[in-house]
Amino acid sequence: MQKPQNMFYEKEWWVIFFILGFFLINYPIIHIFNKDFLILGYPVFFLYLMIGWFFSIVVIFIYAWLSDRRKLTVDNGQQKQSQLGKRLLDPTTKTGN
Amino acid sequence: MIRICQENNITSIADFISSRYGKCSHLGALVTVIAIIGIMPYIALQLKSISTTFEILVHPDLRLDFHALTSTARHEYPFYLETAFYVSLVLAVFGALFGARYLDASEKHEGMVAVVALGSVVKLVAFLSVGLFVTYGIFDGFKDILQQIADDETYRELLLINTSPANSYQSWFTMIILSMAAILCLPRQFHVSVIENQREEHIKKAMYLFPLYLFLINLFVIPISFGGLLIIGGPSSIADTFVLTLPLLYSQEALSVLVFIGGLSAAIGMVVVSSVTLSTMLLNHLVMPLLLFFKVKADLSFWLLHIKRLGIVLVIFLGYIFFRLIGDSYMLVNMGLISFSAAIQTAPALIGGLYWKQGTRHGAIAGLLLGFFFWFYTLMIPSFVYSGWLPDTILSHGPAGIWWLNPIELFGLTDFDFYSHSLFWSLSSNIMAYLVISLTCTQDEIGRRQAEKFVGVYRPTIDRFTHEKRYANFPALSELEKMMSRFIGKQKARQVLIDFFATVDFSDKLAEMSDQQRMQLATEVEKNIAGAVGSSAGRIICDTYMKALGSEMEDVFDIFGKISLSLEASREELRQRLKELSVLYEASRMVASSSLNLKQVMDDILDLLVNKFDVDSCSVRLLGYDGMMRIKAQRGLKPEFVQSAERQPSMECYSGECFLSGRVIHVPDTDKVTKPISTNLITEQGIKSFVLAPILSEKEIIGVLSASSMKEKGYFSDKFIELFKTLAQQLGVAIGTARLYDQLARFNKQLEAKVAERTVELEQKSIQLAEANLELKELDRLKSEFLANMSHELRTPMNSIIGFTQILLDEIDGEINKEQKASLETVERNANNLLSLINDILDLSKIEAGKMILTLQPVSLDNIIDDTMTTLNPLIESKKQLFILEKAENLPRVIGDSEKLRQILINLLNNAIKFTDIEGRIALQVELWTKTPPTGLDPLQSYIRISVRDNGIGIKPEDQERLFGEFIQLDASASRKYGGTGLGLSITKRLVEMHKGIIKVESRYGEGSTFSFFIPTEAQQTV
Repeated sequence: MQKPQNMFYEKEWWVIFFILGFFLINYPIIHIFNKDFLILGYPVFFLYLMIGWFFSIVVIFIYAWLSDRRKLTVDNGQQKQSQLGKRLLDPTTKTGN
Repeated sequence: MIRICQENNITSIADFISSRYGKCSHLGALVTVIAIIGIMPYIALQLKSISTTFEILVHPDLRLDFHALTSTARHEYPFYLETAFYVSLVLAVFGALFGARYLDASEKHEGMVAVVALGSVVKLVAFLSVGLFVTYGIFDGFKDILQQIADDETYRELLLINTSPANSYQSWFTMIILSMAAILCLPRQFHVSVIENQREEHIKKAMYLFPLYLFLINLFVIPISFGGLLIIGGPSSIADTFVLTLPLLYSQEALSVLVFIGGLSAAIGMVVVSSVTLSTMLLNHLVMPLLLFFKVKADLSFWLLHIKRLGIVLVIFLGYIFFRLIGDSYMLVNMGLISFSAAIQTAPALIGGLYWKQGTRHGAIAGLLLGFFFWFYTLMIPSFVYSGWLPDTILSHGPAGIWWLNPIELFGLTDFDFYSHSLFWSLSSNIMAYLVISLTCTQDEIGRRQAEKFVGVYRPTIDRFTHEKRYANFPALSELEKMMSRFIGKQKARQVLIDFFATVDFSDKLAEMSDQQRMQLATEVEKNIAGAVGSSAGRIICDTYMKALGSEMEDVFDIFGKISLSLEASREELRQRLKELSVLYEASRMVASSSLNLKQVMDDILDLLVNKFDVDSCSVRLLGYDGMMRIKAQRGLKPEFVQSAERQPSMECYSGECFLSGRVIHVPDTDKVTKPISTNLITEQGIKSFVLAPILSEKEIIGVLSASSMKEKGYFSDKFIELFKTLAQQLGVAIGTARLYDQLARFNKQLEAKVAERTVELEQKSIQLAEANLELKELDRLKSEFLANMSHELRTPMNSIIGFTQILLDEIDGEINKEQKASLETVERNANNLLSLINDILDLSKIEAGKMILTLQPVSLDNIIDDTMTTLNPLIESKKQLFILEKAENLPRVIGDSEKLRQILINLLNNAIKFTDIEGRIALQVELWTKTPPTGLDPLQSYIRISVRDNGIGIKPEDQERLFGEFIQLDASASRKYGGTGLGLSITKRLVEMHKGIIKVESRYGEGSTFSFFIPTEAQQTV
């Protein structure tokens, strides 16, 4: 269970999502769907954009939720610690010892 | 980004950028100007939407009359009769009242955000209702509308893109880029997402909620617009109003009002937030620097708020002006895009500033200026043309007929839509300028520091920078409070100070604060002022204020601060630092190895401490042989201190403790000193903090290196102490080496002295010897002379003795009896012996005195040998010995004195006969020497060797050397037995040598001896 949590905590995922999204709504890819063609009565391009858009929101939601959960369980203490650490690292508190 | 803004009290995007690039006020002002000009179309958009919707609501007759509708915006009326004017007035008042309640722009406006959020919700609800109404009320769902559009010949292509230049993949791409940038770079977006952000985690929630909101809002955009097209039709320029006109067309007034309220609330929200943000920027980056420039010294806090309010009004009315001038030429979305295109110009500086440390102020300024220029030229100039301000020919033939300067086809870039064209030129030039200028210009100190701070925001910030600067003369707390209260109000100022001292638990007495703490306080003060007026203004204010009080920042050379800084800087720089460090190391190593002078080594290290690390005093204590520790070298100490510091190491003083424990001792605050001996000395010297490190030489502590500061407490950072320790170790090595060298030098000197002494002695002795030698020679000569004279004087009487004894024995004077005869014979024999002795001595002394002169001439050996044999034959016969003569035929003549040669032969043969028993064998060999002559002879000369061999008693090897000495008879008993004076061989040798020959002896003891001598022949050696 620990492995996927670590995996989702990586910052690089955001970059991957960004690049993926950017590619999916730009020229070569949208050209595939830019056709005068209906699926179940909906234009293909309209469908692709709307579904893709919604899907990307869902992906980001899931990812944010996952990383949030990890943060709650693991990092809650660390947050406090970093505040404390900041204070310890403060030069003025250091010279006193 | 949020972390950065919170840490630096950043108030706006302009503040962010100016702060990132070294708190440069010009940059802030530039961003502000760009933002304000860029926001004008956006405000105009909102005004247009509000006024248009209002017109549509109150004039139902206009609803479907497109021409009438568009004509309302034609500005036929004076401004005071125009809806948009009053709308802007209301918005301005609203914004001024609610948007500028406090001065501190970095504080959160929770109320405002709540209003905006509520407005957005209302807008969403209104839009969704319209959407549902249109989609499911008028039409039969999505499918229906899309089907109808797809069936319609004219509208079918709306379902696709890339159908015309205005609807191409390029424009699609441009829209995406613009929208992406707008989310961050629009000042109001930046404000809401970054400045108003309460917690960093909120970003995560926004990351899916914001797209979701956009998705919902846009869900019905297509049905509504397609529906509008299908039902109302008409040009796309009125598509903006479908949301309102469709419900009205179906007599849904309530829905229309809801839509209006939704749109109004959202628009108000946007306008207010935009204007508030921009007025903050205006105030902080344009007004404040100007006020400071003109040195306005009044209490500004009251005025600043009003200036801010004025700014809000100004921004809204600027938007109104744009609307009135250009507004009707565009659809709402297009006006938005113009705005976005301006906002995106800040993106390179913003994003580059966040991730790229090398981005410099000049790069940012150049990029912004160039980007803004292209934006203005390619978007605003055409706008002016469309609204009739500028002649149409500019767009058709280029300005002044120069086709490649055409603002919509710049440098001949055709077939691009309006926005892509603009975006391409402005953004590419912006980025290029930013990168190129950044790389070619160097950053100043503060720029580098800010870059470090911004890019490395997630790294723990230790006192990286506080070390480097210090205030020479820090103002009093009351002064600081007064200064702050001018900008943020008295109460707030007091609170800031109280909070500061509550968080950094230090006494609030300024005098007791270290420089670092003062720096912190100053930073805190600056931050708070920056919160009110922006970072660049804040910095200027603080700097000028401090300067006015005579307190200026001065550079403190702290190599460690620099090193720690560069640790984060870049590998390259780090390598550079390392090189410097190694140079330092190399230098000290050279100090250690080259000078080897103990005093020199210590002085060099101390100078290094004083010059590079700015310590006030430092010293090297070394343990003497008597067990006392003394200051051997020092800088900045009083002489009496040096005197009194001499003592045995004990735990009663710090240096002693350091020495005895071998630990580094750091006392950051000398008020807390506990050791009695040290206290007096420290207070006398005025030392505030000090550090001691043991000097080790081959694992043995030999002394203590100390450094102290009289300026401040806590002067020495941990990193300094670390290096100080290393320095002490290095010094130890150096001292060890120097001592070794000293010892060596001493030994060397002793040795040299000894050698010199000996040499003198030897010289004296050799002189003495030479003198003695001279004396001896003189004595020798005297002796020889004496002997020569004496023997001559002796010979005369000896001759008469022998002569008269002969007469008596011959009985010439009468008859003698038998006894008398025997006595006389004894006398005669002894007299003869004596005479021969005297002759020998005479010869020898003659030779030695150089008085014997040979007449060297070619002589034949034959005669000489015959004569000799005649003389010696009776003797040989009397001993019944066998004599063998081995003489080669045809021998050449030799060069010599025949008399002396005969003497030589007689001497040698005589000896042989004498030392050979009766019936022994004696051989005389004469031959021409054909081999190389033995050493000592002329190799070009030919020689004859003459050897006398016997089988007599022989000579022991050890005696052969001294055989030819004077008065030598090897055996005392042999002398008695065989007789002889012992001078024979000596004379023989001299005689041979006088013939330029040599004589040798070969002998085996008990078996016989061979004496052979070489005499030169008259013929030359034929080799």
